[in-house]
Parts: sequence; structure tokens; C-alpha cells
Amino acid sequence: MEMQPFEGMKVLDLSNHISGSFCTKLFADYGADVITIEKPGRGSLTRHIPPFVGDVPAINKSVYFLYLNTNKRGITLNLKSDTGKEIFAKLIQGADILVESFAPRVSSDLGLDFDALETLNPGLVMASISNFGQTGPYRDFKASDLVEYAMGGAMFSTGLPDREPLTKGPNALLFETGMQACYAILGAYMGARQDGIGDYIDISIMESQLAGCERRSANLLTYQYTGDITRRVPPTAGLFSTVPAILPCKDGHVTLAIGSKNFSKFLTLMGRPDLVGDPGWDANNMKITPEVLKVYHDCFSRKTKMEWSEMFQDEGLICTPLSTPEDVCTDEQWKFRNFFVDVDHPSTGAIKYPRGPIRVDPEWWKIRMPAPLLGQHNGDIYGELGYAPDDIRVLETQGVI
Amino acid sequence: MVERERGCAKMNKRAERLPLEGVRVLSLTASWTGPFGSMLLGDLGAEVLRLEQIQYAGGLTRGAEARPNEARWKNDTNGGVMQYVDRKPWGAHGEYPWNRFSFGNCHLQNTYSFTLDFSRPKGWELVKRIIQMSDIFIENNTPTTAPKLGFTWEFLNGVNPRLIVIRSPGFGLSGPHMHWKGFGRNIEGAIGHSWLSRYSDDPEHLVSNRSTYLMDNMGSHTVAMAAMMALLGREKTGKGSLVEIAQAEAAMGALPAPWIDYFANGRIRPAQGNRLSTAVQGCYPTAGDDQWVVITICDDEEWRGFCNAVGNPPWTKDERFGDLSGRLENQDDLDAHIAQWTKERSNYDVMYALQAHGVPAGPVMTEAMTFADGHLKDRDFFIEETQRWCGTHLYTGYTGKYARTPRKNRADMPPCGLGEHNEYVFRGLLRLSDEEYAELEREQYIGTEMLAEAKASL
Repeated sequence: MEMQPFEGMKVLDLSNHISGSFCTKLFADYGADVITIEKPGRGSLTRHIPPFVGDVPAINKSVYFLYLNTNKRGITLNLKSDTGKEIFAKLIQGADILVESFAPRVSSDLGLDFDALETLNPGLVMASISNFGQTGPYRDFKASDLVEYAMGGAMFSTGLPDREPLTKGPNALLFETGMQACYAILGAYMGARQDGIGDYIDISIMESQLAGCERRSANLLTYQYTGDITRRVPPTAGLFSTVPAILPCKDGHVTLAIGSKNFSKFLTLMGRPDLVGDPGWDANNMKITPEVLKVYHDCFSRKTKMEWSEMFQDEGLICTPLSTPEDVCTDEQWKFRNFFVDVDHPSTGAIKYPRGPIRVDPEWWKIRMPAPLLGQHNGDIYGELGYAPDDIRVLETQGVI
Repeated sequence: MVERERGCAKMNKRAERLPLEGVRVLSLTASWTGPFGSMLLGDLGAEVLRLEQIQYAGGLTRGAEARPNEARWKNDTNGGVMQYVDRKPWGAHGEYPWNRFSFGNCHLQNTYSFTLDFSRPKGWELVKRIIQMSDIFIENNTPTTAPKLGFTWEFLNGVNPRLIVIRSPGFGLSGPHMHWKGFGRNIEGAIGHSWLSRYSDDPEHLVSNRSTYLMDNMGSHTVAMAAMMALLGREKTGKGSLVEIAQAEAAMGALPAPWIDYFANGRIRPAQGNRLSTAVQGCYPTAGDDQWVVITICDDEEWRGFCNAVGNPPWTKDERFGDLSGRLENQDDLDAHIAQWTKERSNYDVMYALQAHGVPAGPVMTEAMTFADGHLKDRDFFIEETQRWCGTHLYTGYTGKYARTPRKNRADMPPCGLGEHNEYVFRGLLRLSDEEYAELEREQYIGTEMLAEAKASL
């Protein structure tokens, strides 16, 4: 297939933060015409989240903004002004999908009411992404990604038993919600395109964590089935009592999962074939004593995490490096697959970003343009709506755009 | 449907057709990405046919082994791989332990299970007929597995040129490590997630198992999204396509900042625990055993809100805490004061007190708290499902509430038992006669019980 799957689809992006922006990025990267609408002056919140390229805060240099807005056209619009509302009413008429992520109170103040928007565009699919949803006692509560992880995710079981529960990777949860939102919106869109009936989708970040495919959904079920609570476990605890789940080696750590089936092979490959058959090393009846641990430490200190991983994996045993970001970015697997690709942006030059997760030959995923500068496409898009260059200048001086 | 009655009261239009009605999915999948991604399509109305075998108990979907021995489940005190109803693989609800395993049951809803030994020629012919009548084939095994069983792209495409084939292995279908295997924790290590969420740079504080894995969630939703994209594509071309999703790549796409920061600035993100460089943030002890609350205080406004909420004691006036950079520089001292305050209260009380003053805060929820939470109840989040072998329980609900789009209600199709829909598939869809069906059962092509000699994967 030569075309991108979302070619011809029009998406309006009013999201200010990571979840909504990632959701619309997925549409944009796979071919949709996505217009991201920012506040004049300050722009999207994601323009202000560190880290920045070159380490100096600048409106076009947040790595979050750059990554989240590839392939989108960007305009500025003051939705609080009457003229701004008029212009938005024109924009919405051409859209298939609208994504917004204002706090529930704010979106109704801005007139982003689905009933009203629907009269302008009967087939519209609109999604509101918020911390806790559009209804319920927590509707107006504030949240950070950590608060969402604590309340909706598996934070209680993340970390060490004698320490406080621990976060997951930086903002990962907000990206997950963005992906889940994209799935939910696409579902409604598939329906809308067969019967012309649009939809309004209320997406709660907290519920997205709970509804996702993490062990949390299984652990909540386990709790009902067995009464067992899923707790934080020591780093050495593995699925099996043979080998600790994590071991230090020459240049860092490896993670392991070795069951009784493969234990003799493991000992041999580790460099201690003499231990096979030793009663202290019986896979079905052994404890990881300090003496046992010392043997592991002595052996594993001889090779690097990648050397061990490649050797064991080539023999069908589970061992992986505990990678640092540098390891990930220089990993032969991801280099071979061209996972990190150069994206050239006028304010940063070419920098590598992760590519999209879906691969098809010929490619569905394309970088057609980098993230927009603030208001970069005002001329194009307001021109498409019928505004003459002079009108656009007037809108600018009025602070509407 | 509960969901359609909620949402905006003014909406009166209702869609009648499920979005993916008429789409048939053949799912040859193991925990988690594959079966969950398939269920997500089932939720939207696709008919998901899950192909299983009574000769093989693998992939942790239906247990680590077909019939775990009694000693092992008695000795297992922390969940582990013994997560059966009543903690017993055998018990009050009868046998069929493979139908009572929480890992599988959380993603086997809206799914039809049929069994078939396709390693024998008659079975292979039947599988071919199902491929002919399917729209989408999904598998998420290591790259060599499906082709070894005969399910190559060439074969599938030859049998049904309109078939969309989705393959979602851990490390992808190419590259020097494409054959690598691992449990969630091992992949979390390889993709840098374990490194990115550490307490400190001290190796003693490394966390090996988070009991939750990014690739499963990112992978499964990518699978469902890709399936719909391929359906849109097929409308234009009339042809199927081969779609590849590496679960590790889907997960790494959710952690872009550390990678881009490395490429752009050469920085390797240091360990930060729960802290941020842009806000005072932490996880603090509250009253009770192993009870916690998290708090994020971004700007001066939230700081003032926080001070008011805690009653403006003298330490809040400490000039070192006067602005954000001072609060961040002196966060160890500040945290000690905050913890002093939180540990006198329940985590819910802390949340309500701080949220009343506009400060983001929330309890670290245990399983019991999640089920008791008033907000989730008010929004009717959980789905009560009654499954023949397990009884009645609450299952986690859907992402997003549709005002109009109908979903297939999971409660109408609770977790499928092994081979539960054999009759539907072989007599209903393939129109086999009574006699042919009985023969399949007799010859153990199909069944609802794992064979004694069924192979386990661990």
C-alpha cells in the first residue's frame, strides 16, 4: 500500500499536555492532517517541559514538544475571544476528530461543548482527556503523572519492600494514555464512518491506567480470586529460586530468569560445569545463600552485560542487560532496525527521535515535517479558511492569533 | 448498556452497529500483548477466535503448567504463578484450573476459544478454512514460533489474500537480537525502563521487578490500533498486509525524553526516585501499615495552597522554602516536615485536605482501596462478570466512556474457558456434521481439558 492509513483524515488538536499530544501525534505520523492549536504567546504547555535541546529553555526546544508534534501543522488561536470562537467554529466544520485536554471546568468555559460543536459538524468524534474524567467526585482534582500512577497504576507494587513505592519512567503513563486514547478514538471513528453518527469520548487518565494491559488488571483480579496483595519484592526475588533476578557483572547488571529445566545448561555456560549435580545446586531444592551468591558474583564479574546476554540468549536462556539510556541509544538491535531516526528541525538541526511502533512495507510511518514553530502555519490555515493576508495581520494585532 | 445511558443527557442519537461488526480475528497469542490486543478488537464488535490446543499449556495465559502440583501451590505465598480462584488450581469450582487463572482471565473476555490440534493434517485443513473466513490474524510469539508451526506470511497470504497479518514479538522481526526472549522484567531491563526508575545511583537500590510492564500496555493497544489502520488500508487496496510491532519499540516510544536528551545533549538521565526538577514531589508515609500518599507541589500558588492546607505551621515560613529553587535545594528537610504531617493522617485524608487547596495529591492505592474508591464507583468503572468456573468478580473496565458508540459488553462474554466455543466454531462456522464433530472430539483434535501430557512452557 502506497498511502498512509490515515491519509485524508482531519484532526484538530487542542491538547495542551502529553497524553493528548501523543494521541494526535500517532494520527499525524500515520498520515492524518493534524492541526495543533496553541495559545498565542506562550504556546502549548509541552513547549515548557525540560529537558531542552542545548539545555537552555526555549519555546521551540523542549524535547517533549519536538517529539510530540511531528507532522502537525501549528496555529495560534485565542479561544477566549469572540473572534477566536468564530474561527474555531469554522475549523471544526472540516474536522473528523477533535482532541482536547483542558480541565473539565475550563473546557466548558471555552465553549467546547459537544452538543454545540455537533450542530456545526454532525459526524464529529470528540475526545476529552482529563485527569479523572468529566464526572465523579474527583472531577476537578489536580494530578501529576505520579499522582495518576499512585491512584490508577501499580505504584504500590513498584519498588523495594523496605522503601516507599516508586514511580515509573518519566511521564510514561501519560504516553500510555495517549496510545489508549488513540485506540478508543479510532474505535468511535470506525463506527462514525459507517453510520455518520459522531461521538463524545470521556477519557480519564486514572481509568486508562486501570483499564490498560498492565499486570495491575491481573493483580486486581488475583486479589479477588485469592486475597493476595501484590507487594514490592526484593531485587533478588525471581520467578525461580535458582538464580537471582538481577546480578552485577563487569560493566553493570543483567536480569535473568532461569528455571529448573535450563539450570544445568546455565551453570555450564556460566563457567562452572563442576557444579552440575552438586547437591547444594539442585534447582528444585536450593536457597540463594551468601556462599551461592558469591559464586554467581565471581563468575558474572568476568564479562559485560551484553556479552552475557548474547551468550545466554543464543543458547535459548533468558538474560538481558540492564540498559542505561546510553546503552539503549547505541544498541545494535535498534541501530539495525533504524529505530532512532534523524528529524531535522529549524531551531535544533537534525536530532534522533524514536520512530513509530507500527512497521509495514512500504512504510506507513513517515516524517513529513518536524514540529511547528509557534504559529508557523497561521498563514496557510487561516488562508484556507478564506482570510486574506491583511485580515490575518489584523487578527495578529488583536491578539486573536 | 450502562455506558450508553451515561454521558451527555441531551444526546439522543444512538449508533446501532458495533464499530467492528463483521470483522473476524484469528488470534494465536500468548500473554499479554496478543490476547489483550485481540480483546480490544472484540470490545468493538470484532469476532475474536482464539486458537488453543489441549496438547499445549504455554505462554502463561492459562497457567505456568496445565496442572500445578499441590505442594507448589501450598508453598506459594506471594501470588507468584499460582493466581487461581481460591488459590487452588483444584477446588470448589471443580477442575479446569486453566479456566480459573487470573493472568489469562483478565484478557480473555469478548473472546471465543476453540481448540484444535493443527499439527495433524485434518486439523491443518480445518485451520485453513478458518483463515479463509478471517479478516485479521494476530500472533505475538517469538519470531520463529509461528512460521515453525506453518503460519508463514506466504502461506497465510496464499490462503487468503485479504488477510491482515499482525505479528508482535518482543524485539521485532529483524536485527541481531530478534530471537531474544524474556519475561516482562527482562525486557524492562533491556529497554532502559528499570534504569530510568531507580531510587538512587546506588546499585543496592535497583528494582528488578515492577510487577507491571510498559511493553504489554503499549504493545496491546498498538496491535489493536494497527488492526484498524490495516482495515482502513484494505478498503482502498482490497489486499491484506503484513504488520509488525516490536513490543519493546512500542514501549520505548513512551519514554522519548531520555533518548532524545542523550542524542541532543549527551546526557544520561540520573536516578531521581520520585523527585522532579520542576516541582517538589514525593511519596510520603501515612497512618497505617505500608500506606502512602504522593504529593506534587509545582509553583508558588500550589505551595501557598499546601501551606494553608497544613495550617501554616512555623516551618512553612522558613525562608529556605520561600521559592521553588529553595524548596528543591532543601527538599530533604522539606520532605521530613511533610512526612511528619502526613504520617498522622490517612492517605485519603491527606488527598482531600490538599486537593481542597488545589494541590495535586493522591493515595498509593492497594487493591482493596481501588475497589472501595468512591470515584471509580460513581463512574461505574468496574464490570461485574460471572464466569462459569470462577464465579462473580469485578473486572477492570474500558479506556474511555463512549456516549454513543456501542461496545460489546464484556459481562456478556466473560473470560472464555478452554475450547468453550468449539461448537460455535466447528458446527456453527464450519458447518461440520454431528458425526464429524464427535470424531474431532474422539480423536482429540479438540476438547475442553488439557491432556495429561500437555507441554508446559516454563
